[in-house]
Order: sequence, then structure tokens, then C-alpha cells
Amino acid sequence: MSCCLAGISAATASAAKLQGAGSTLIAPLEAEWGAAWGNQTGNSVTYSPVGSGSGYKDIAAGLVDFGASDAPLSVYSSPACHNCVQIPWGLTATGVSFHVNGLRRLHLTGPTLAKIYLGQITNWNDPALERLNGHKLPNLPISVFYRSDSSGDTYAFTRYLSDVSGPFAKQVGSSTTVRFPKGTGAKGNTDMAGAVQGTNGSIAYVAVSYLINASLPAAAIQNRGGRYTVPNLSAIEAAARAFRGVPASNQVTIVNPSKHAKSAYPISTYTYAIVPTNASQGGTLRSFLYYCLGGGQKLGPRLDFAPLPKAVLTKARRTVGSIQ
Amino acid sequence: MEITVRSRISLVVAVSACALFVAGAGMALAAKASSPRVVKCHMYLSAVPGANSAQVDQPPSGGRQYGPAQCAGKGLGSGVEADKFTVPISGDLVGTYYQYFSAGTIKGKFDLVPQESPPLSSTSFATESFKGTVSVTGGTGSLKGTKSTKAGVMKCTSPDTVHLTCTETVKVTP
Repeated sequence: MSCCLAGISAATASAAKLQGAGSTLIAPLEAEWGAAWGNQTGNSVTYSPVGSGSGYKDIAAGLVDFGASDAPLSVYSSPACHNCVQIPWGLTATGVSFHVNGLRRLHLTGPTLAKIYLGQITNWNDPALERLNGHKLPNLPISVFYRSDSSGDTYAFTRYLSDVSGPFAKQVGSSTTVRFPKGTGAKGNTDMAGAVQGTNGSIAYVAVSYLINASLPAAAIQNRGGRYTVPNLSAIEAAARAFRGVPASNQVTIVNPSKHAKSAYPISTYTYAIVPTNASQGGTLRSFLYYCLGGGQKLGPRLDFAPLPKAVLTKARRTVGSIQ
Repeated sequence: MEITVRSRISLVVAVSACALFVAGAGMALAAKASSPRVVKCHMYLSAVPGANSAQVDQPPSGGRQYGPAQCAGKGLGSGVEADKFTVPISGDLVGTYYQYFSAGTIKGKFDLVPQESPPLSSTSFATESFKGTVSVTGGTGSLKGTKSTKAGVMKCTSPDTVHLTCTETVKVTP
């Protein structure tokens, strides 16, 4: 008996704890990963969904073991994150949700969406919107919502709009935090989803898992191939398949893929773990990341994430191996 | 001499007439035999794990599918379909297939184009639907020589990107 107690005590004492912070988009999947990996290893993960920008700052300051960001490292200039590498570990999309009483389907093109966020289209009955949707829309002002915190969803969304609209690129640009000329700020995906739910006439960009969890509709966005696609599993995977190479930096941006990717959803995005290669709990961190990139990928589709393509996985695992 | 020539001419005319009759009858028979018929099938296909893999990735980017095929038509009926597919950059589901029936097999190819998905929901994230073309390129046994006269229509739906329920309608000869 005493030997068993001693064994349990030793196991408890050796259980490691990892701390992470960042992207709200990856948070639902990260929670599943943490629980499953914890069950396998006896270790635990505490994750704070504070937004991609804050996650980056926390890992750069050494406050956590890993950061999580939907925007790549190249977006952040300060503070410097010494010896940090980015590892793609999730593949999903930013949906464009809307709340117009009685409307379940909405077709949007990129330039039209840009005009809404530039404040040039202000009412749902605008002829451009009615033409795209083939029917009358209500005389209702459009309430625009955007993320007030530093967000990877904002990065993917503004990167897409900058790609498809010269005026948007010039006036707003793309980053994790931008100055939208119109709209109301909301913090995190949860508040964005809540804002859409509570406001008739609203439009907002929301990570797919939050959008589905809140039973919100997603607009079908016209891709470069001319098709309207919603951010579902196949459309996200099709966007990822359009990009074959993985650069040494692991930065893989997949918004607005080529016209040949006819089934792709154009605001799809990778999300990254950001870790220092000289981590204080290197072995434990490697174990957790290997799980996320291995068995953990199977949990993705149930939580509205697509599995990473093999080429990306191979490169990501190699990078995990470089953590000391 | 004149009689002989006339007899020969009569013989040639008679042989020619006979040949024309036989050829005409043959053509009529051939026309009857090759008149196209419509084949309709229902298939329930499942993607299977590749080598060294215990399960199918969602969504599969290529591989093999198997499942029962129920086709209305002579020599068809209940059978099994096996196909090999890939998903190129366009996102189409492109492949070749065999359908095995007790009377023989038919083979062909398909190209399915993803259709606009239903509104996104907790149950529709992995759903997809396709519409495209299907062709029959040959057969064996009593279905030997079976070919489609032109590409037919194939439609599929899937709740999870792994299991497909399909229908196909195609005109074939003989």
C-alpha cells in the first residue's frame, strides 16, 4: 500500500504544467488537445484565450510556454521574440456572419464586402447586395462589427479584403489591428458572435467554430474561381491544397487562393503555435506539440477545423524536433 | 454467247440484290441491337483507409471507395462498385470505377463538381454535395462492349466527406 501511495505521489510530483496564451480561434481545439494529451501523459495545459496579439506579447516576454496566433510571426515587429519559431497546428477559416431577420442565405463578393467595411454600402437594400442575392433585401441599416483586440481573424479578414479591393488596401490595409472607418469594436470571437446575435442588421467576421457554436449563419463568399463557398470542411481544405510549398519560416498564408481552386473558401487560415527553441520545458512542450500534430488532428473536423495537409504536417513536426 | 452474258448479268444482279438484302437486314439488326438504353444506378460508397493507415482523413484527398450499387437494366441489378479517385486543385472528385454484377462488369469514369453547400450549422460543417458527369467506357461478360453514348449525370451527397450516396443516369449501348 505504501509503495502504491509512493508511486502515485511520485507521478503527481513529476506531472508537468504548460501554460499557453493567444488566439481565441484555436481555443476550442486547444482545450480538447490539452485534455486528451493530459489524459495520456498525466501532464496539464492551461490556456488563456486572450487574442493572437496578446499571445504573441506573452510568449515574447517569456510569460508562457507557448503563444498561439492566427497571424504569422512576420506581422509582429515588437517586442522581439528571441529564438521563436512558428508551427502551423490548426487549419480553419474566418466566416462572415450576419443577422437580418428571416435571411438564412447571403451571397457576397470580396469587393462588396470591402465596401461594407469601408462604409460605402450602408443599407441591406443596396442594389449591389440585392443584385448578388437575386431578391429584395430589407430597408435596414448595416451594423458593422470588428475586433477591437489584436486578432488573427482581423489579420486574415483584412488580408483578404486588401487582396480583392485596392481602396481597402489603401485606406485600411492588413494587420492584426487596423483602423476601420466604420463600425463598432467587440473583443474576442465570443463578443463578436454575441454582437451579431443581439443586433438585427449586423455583419461581423467570426471564427468558424464560434459561428457554428452560436448557430449563426455564414455568408457564401465568391472565390477567384467565381463560385460562392461557405467555410465548411471541404472548402477550407481546398484552400489549403491550393498552396503546395511550405517555406522555411513555416508561414503559410492561404487567403484568396488562385482561380483554379474553384471550391476553396477564400478567407481560410492557418493558425500557429509560437515557441522558443530554447524552451524551459522543452521535452514536455515537444510532447504536447507532437500530440497536436499527430492524434490531435483527428479531433479537428468535429470542432470545425480541417486537418493539416501532409506537407505542412511534416515540416511542422520537423520544427518541433528543433525545440531544445 | 449473248445468252451467257445475259445469264451472267442476271447472276450479278441477283447476287447484288441478295447482298443488299443481307446488308440491309444486318444494318437493321445492328441498329436494333445498338439502340441506346437508359441505365439508372444508386450507389452507397465509403472511402477506405489507405495503406498503413487505420482511418480515413476528413476530407480524403484521394484513395478508393467501395459500396453496393443497385442498377436498373438488363444484366445489371444488385452489384458492387469500386472506384479510385483523386481531388485535384479544382476540388472536383475525379475518378475511374468498376461495377461488378453477376452477368459481368462495366467500367467508366466520373468527374464530380462540388455544389454550393447548405447554410453552415453544427451538423453541416462536413457535408458536401456534388453534381457532375459519368461515362461508361467498356464492359465484360454479357456486358461486353457496353459504352455510354454521351456523358450521363451523376449526383452525390455526403454528410461527412467519407460516405457518399450517389445516383447516376446514363445512356448506353448495346
